[in-house]
Amino acid sequence: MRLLYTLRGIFLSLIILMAGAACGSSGRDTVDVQLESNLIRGEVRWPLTAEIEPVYVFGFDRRLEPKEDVRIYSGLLEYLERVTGYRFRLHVTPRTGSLVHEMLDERVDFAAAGTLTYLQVRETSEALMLVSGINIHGENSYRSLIVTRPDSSLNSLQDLVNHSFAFGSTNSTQGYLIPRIMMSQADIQLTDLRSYEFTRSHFETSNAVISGRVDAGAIQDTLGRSLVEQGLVRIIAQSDLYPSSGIIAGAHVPAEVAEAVQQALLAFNPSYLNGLELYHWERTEMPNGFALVTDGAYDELRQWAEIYRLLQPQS
Amino acid sequence: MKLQTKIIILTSLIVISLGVLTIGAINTMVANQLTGELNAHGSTLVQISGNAIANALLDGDVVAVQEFLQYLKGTNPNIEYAYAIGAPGRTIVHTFPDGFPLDLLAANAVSNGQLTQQTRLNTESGIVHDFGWRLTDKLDVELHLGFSQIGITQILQELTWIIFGLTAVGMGVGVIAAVVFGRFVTSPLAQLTEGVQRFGSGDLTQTIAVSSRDELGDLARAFNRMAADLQGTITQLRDSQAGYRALLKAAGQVGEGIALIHDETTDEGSFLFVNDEFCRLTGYDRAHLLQLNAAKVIHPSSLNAVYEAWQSIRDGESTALRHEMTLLTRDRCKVVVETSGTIITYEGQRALAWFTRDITERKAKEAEIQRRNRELATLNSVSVIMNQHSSNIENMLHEALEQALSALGVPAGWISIAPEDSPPYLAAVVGLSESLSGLETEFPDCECGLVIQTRQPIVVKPGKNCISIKSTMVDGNGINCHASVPLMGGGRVIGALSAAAHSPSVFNEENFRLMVMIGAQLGVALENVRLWKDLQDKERLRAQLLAKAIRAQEDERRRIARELHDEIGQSLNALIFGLKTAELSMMEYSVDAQEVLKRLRVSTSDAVRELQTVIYDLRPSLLDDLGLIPAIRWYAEDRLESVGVRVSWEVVGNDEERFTPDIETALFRIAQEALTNASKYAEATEINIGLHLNDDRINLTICDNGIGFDISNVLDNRERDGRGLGLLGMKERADLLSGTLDIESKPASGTCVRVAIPLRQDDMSVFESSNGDSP
Repeated sequence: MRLLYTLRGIFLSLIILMAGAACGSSGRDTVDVQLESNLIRGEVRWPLTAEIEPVYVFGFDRRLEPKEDVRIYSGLLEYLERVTGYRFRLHVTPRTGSLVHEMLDERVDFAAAGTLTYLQVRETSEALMLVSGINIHGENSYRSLIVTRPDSSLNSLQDLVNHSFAFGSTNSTQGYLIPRIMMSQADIQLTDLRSYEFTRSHFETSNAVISGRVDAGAIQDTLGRSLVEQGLVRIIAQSDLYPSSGIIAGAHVPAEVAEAVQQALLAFNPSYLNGLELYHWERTEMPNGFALVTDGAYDELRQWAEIYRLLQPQS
Repeated sequence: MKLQTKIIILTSLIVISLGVLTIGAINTMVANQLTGELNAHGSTLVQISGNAIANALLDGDVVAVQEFLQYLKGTNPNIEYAYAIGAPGRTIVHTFPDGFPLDLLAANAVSNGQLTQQTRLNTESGIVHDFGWRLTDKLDVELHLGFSQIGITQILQELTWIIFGLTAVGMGVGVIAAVVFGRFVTSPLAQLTEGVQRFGSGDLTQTIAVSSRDELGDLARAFNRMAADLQGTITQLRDSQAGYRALLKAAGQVGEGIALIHDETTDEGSFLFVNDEFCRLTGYDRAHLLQLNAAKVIHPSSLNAVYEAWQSIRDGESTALRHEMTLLTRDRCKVVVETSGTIITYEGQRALAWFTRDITERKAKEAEIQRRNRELATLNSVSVIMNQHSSNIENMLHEALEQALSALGVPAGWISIAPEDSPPYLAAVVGLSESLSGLETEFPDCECGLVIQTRQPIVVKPGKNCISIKSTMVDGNGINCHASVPLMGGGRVIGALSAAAHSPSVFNEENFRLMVMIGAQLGVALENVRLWKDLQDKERLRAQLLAKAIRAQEDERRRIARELHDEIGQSLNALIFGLKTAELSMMEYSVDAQEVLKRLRVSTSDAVRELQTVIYDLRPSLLDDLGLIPAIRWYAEDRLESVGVRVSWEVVGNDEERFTPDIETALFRIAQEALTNASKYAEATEINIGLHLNDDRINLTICDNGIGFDISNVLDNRERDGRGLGLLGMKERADLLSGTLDIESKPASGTCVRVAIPLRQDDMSVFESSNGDSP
């Protein structure tokens, strides 16, 4: 009788074990969804989350590839949210779109933009350059670099004649306006080039040069020096210092918000705690933070932009 | 169930168990591993993929994203679906052929603050792990990959079937092995079983053949050794049993009752075995006892003690316990026994071996000895007291009374003395609030005076004339009752010992007996004191009589000497002178020689007469020659009638009868003393002398009409008054002959002296034989 009880106990234990093994994976948190019913045909958009408080849209001129730009500026927005208490969202300007138009249309409230974008927005609105970026040398100015492949025969601006060239976006200060100034100062016209093209970003320009699609290109100084360190490009010319890019506040942004953001940006110090939230901030045009700037600092560039008819937003 | 079957079942169970456990364990391990890999793969893939299409998503390159997602799904069979949310416009690009499931819109959005997220979805086709990725939480750009778990499930199912199959194969192999092994094991075991059965039937001589050198062979050899040892042990056990039986029988023959009692809980207390002596002790027969519980034969007063003793043996506090207890027989009689017990194993059962010995008689004797010791101790104490105070009766009685009351355990008592010739009095009182001098007793007229009549101890309630009614105990309580026992001395009740108590129950048989003994001892003591006192008086009297006798002897000698000197001496001197004169006269031819001789003859006659008087006074020859009556008669006439006292005689019996010299001398001297006193002191004019002679006694009576005297005064002053010694001398003479002497005298009433001397046959024959030998 005792043996029967023992056998029964062993069987029960085995059954429980097996059930436990079989059910090992079940019982965790699981969401029931129907994948084969309640289907939405055609275009589907992710529903917009209703916001309880205003969210300020932050746009940017493309400098690197979009995802890098997004990651970089996400950190800045985290900082601004923490310091100002306001909420921010990033906005990526479509390839076919224009940041200038988006700011003028009040679809973008703040933007990390270059001088030319600022001049274009400022031309038709009361947008403000709240701050300008401070470079690695501690100056809130930047240069453009004319780069070529390391093995290229080009060594100076003069050598660009009859060679292909890549500019950045037509709205890009460092990618287009300043290089035009450099060529003009070198007495080189566009027609002296064998060919020239416009890319959408310094990154694309770099790719065009490195890949050999063009002989030389014009890019921002920070990217150029980074590529030089990697041995991917060689600088053949650099421009003078011009007021650097900064953070623009749309004319429609409430003054107290703009003031708060300005103060936060001025207090922004990437080398301290702020750096923990940032993604490769050193690759931006404001690696050492921001400085106060006036509209007058951009007068020289404004004049050159006007000469090249760049004050109107380029599509 | 056969061992082989058990082995088969056990082997099967083991294999099945291991198989199931293996299935469970491996399934769990594999599932966890695969799920982990899935999670890692999914998480990695979604991040890599998200990174790869981030620019396209940001640029709104829907086509590129779509192609990428389709490529992902096509190259990863585990991916159930893929979809991405791109900017601008948050357009969803997906791989669902029939439309985007509405449920996914709310099921698994990446939470704020997170860049990746994994969600388990339960879908129609099973569990799908949704891995979500977003570029930044500042932008609604996400990628979701849904990995189905079907692959894992299929793998697990295949694994399960494989293990199941292996388990079944293993079980089959195990069963075969079990069968083979079982036969290999059970065959020798069957031989062993057969051997055990032979052993069980009593055949320990046959051994099991051993052919192997393995454990079974060892078992068989061990079995054979065990059989040999068992054979020896059984032989020893049989011898021991025989010895035990003899021991039990011998124990029974010497009066040792033995019982074995169950010590196990199921039958605890019931008898396992009883010997004849135990049956006899309890009055039950064996069959009846074996159906009883031991408590039935134990007196209730001993039950607790027995149980505690038994428990202490069980607890190991003692291995054997010896004590006394009381059994209850079938007839409900008590039997006191001395018992001891110890725990043994009897016929495989734990039992209490209980040894009993009837000590009822011994206990009774012990009680008797204790009682007697108590009595002896008390009597000894009383005896010591009596010896210490033998000269002081009051102290002796008081201390003896205290001792007696202490032994009896009563608070108060008293001793009454009833002398023969004086009023009774209280000699000692203890425990009463009144002092000895303040109490009066009416003993023996009171209720407790019955002891004089009955000579038996009594218990009385205080009556109206009882001392106890007039007094109270020292503790303030009245006396409810008292017992009295006689004090016997000299064959009569000389007093009573009384003990007072609050309740008659104090005076039980034992206390009564003790009181009687104490009373007897006190009586003896008092009698001894009296006798001692008498002895002392007699000794003093003897000394006095001796002194008187010596003085009398001396006086007599003096008188004889004086009389011899004065009278006979003078006469003889005169005779000598005369003879001288005659001699001279004869020589000188004196005429007066004849006259002289005549005068000498007369002088000599006077001297002879005087000598005869002296001799008669010393001892009249009449007494020896003629006997008592003539001697008394002569003395009376000579002493009394010569002085004018008239003497009358009354003789009854043969006045010529003669008696032994002692009797005649004693009676003569008594008469002589009485007559001398009458003549000297009584101033009597008449004296009557009576002599009654019977066959068995002589009664002599001498009465005068003199002035009489105070006998006690004379006796008390005998040393000054010579009559006292004379009276005592008369009594001594009578006592010496076992006779009695009574003197009645009162002042102015005359005096009567009565003597009675018993006669024996040989008093007469002695006389006859000695008649011819009179001096």
